[in-house]
Amino acid sequence: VTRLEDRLRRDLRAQAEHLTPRSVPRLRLPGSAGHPARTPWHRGPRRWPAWVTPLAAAAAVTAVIVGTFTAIVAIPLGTAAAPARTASQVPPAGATRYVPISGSGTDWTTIAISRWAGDVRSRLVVSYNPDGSAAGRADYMANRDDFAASDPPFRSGVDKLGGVGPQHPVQGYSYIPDAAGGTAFVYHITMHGHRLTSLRLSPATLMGIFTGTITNWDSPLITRDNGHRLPNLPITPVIPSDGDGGTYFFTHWLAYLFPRQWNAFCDRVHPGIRPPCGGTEFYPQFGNAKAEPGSDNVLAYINSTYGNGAIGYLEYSYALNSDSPVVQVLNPAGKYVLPTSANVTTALTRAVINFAAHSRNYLQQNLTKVYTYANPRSYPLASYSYLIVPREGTRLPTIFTKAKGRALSAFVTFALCQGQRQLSQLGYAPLPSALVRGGLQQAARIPGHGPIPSPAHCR
Amino acid sequence: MYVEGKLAGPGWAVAARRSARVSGHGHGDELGVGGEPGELDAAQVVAVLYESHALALIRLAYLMLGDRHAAEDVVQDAFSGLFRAWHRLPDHGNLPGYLRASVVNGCRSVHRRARRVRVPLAEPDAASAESEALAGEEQRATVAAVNRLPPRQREAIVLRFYAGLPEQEVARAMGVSRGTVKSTTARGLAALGRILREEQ
Repeated sequence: VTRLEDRLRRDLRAQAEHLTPRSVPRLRLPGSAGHPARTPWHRGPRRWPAWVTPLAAAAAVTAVIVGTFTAIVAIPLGTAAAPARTASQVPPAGATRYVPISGSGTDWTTIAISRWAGDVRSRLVVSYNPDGSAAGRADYMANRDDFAASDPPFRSGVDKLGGVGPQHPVQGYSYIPDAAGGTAFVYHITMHGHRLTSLRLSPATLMGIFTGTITNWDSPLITRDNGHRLPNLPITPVIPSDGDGGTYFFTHWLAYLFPRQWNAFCDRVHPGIRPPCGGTEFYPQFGNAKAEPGSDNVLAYINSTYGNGAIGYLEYSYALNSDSPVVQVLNPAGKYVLPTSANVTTALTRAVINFAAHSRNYLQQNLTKVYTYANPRSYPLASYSYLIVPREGTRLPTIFTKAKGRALSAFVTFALCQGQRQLSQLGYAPLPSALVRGGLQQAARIPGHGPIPSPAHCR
Repeated sequence: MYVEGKLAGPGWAVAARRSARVSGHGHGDELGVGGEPGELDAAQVVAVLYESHALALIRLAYLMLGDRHAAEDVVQDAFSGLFRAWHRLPDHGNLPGYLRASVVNGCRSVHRRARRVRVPLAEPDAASAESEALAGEEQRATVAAVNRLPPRQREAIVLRFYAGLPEQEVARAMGVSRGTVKSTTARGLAALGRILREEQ
């Protein structure tokens, strides 16, 4: 009987998870026949007709998003729901004192941005479409956004693997760091009926796995990292199918640590590519790799019943909020470490920040010293993520207004001040005070901005 | 289980408190998390509840009905019902429990309507061919077996083993006694065992 009960728990849950958070229609209440707030979602579903995400998988993180973060203004609940569902919505709580603003971009900070948007929702509606860093920057350049969120800056050169050139937005912009975090590796290995939770991997092994030279979990290199042999099970690397910040950080790290092997990999997947091929935002398809749209789908694939043997990468908060096992990565001090808030903060003490206020890349990061930092408590794949906001004295996105600037500056200020307090608990790390100060300066350059507190009054 | 745990727990209250906090006034132009708690109106609380509980409830109804559209409608109706009944409710202490009971009730109505007009309930939605292939023979067999149970047994099984509720909560959701839950669950399990054995 107990076996039957276990089977019921497992199979009913898998069946229920055919319905994903994205498929939840909007709430319609009797009498709230106001005007449905038009959000950018009505441009249509971004990635797939979300009805049946063919993943029986948990999508646990997204469930956490729906379950825990009260106001999900930022998550397109029911994006793909039938048009009949676009009935009137519940107006935001309290009197809205700001005009609504909308942005799009990285998956990396989605969980943080959703939380912030929820916290301010009673007075400011922020819509955020997590369509990936690359798409977010493109949206900004196409005047579809009031702000974007992106891990990389606008491309100044060619992304060889992605096959895309430099970006020259006609709009002006400032970069504002909003959160720090670690790129985590989530995996699914079942041994003797139990899910393994203590996997350790060195950078060289990760390189092998994500370039197709290590294809089975019983590989001697993996055995060496772990001190014991893992089961004979094919490895399924799971990569994001679209331009992604995690890919950007991960591939720059690989290209820096293993330039020769990385160039060889580039040449294998894109014969004739001229070295050095460098990092990319667009992970190339290779070998047994499975491409999934967006971090939540990457995670859902790995955690699904058929995901046994899979490994992928995403921001640590996704792993933390879904209780997914995370790889301990070997750092330059010879320790295997997790991307916890503390380890990320330690690592980023070595990030070189551009503090030249006149520079176009003011506040942007150079991470090479993070990669090599030999501190036992440093997680080597740590980085900052950025908001991209309009800048006074430059050309503005055509949809932008001063009223929106006032709203955007209030949101940015909230994120940089009160918003930082929640980050550790969400799986990110708060910004150091120098970046908060820099960010507030940039906020004061948003056209139409409201009052900006001094850094001392920020926290 | 995370989602189901939320359903049973006081998560909504925390959510509502946070919502109340941010609607506090007297902060000039800054968006502060602080200040005096504002008064929440029914629409706000219902909206907060919807955000945190809709998915779990839709999944619950989906398992009971086998039809996602019907499941969504039942859940919409449950929230509308809560909103309409707001000022008549004697007790706002266990709203998630109230919603769950409405959803169970709504599913019963769907079953009744389906019987009356003799329209067979839709088969469970087929996921894509890929996921069908991957989902596994065994899982499909389990779900099909649960679909064949009489409605009350199906309710008990889903509430007990999917939602992971204690007997007391199952009893409240189904509007029956605890003893009835016990016997219904036992009968459901026995029937499932039989159905699954036959298929092998």
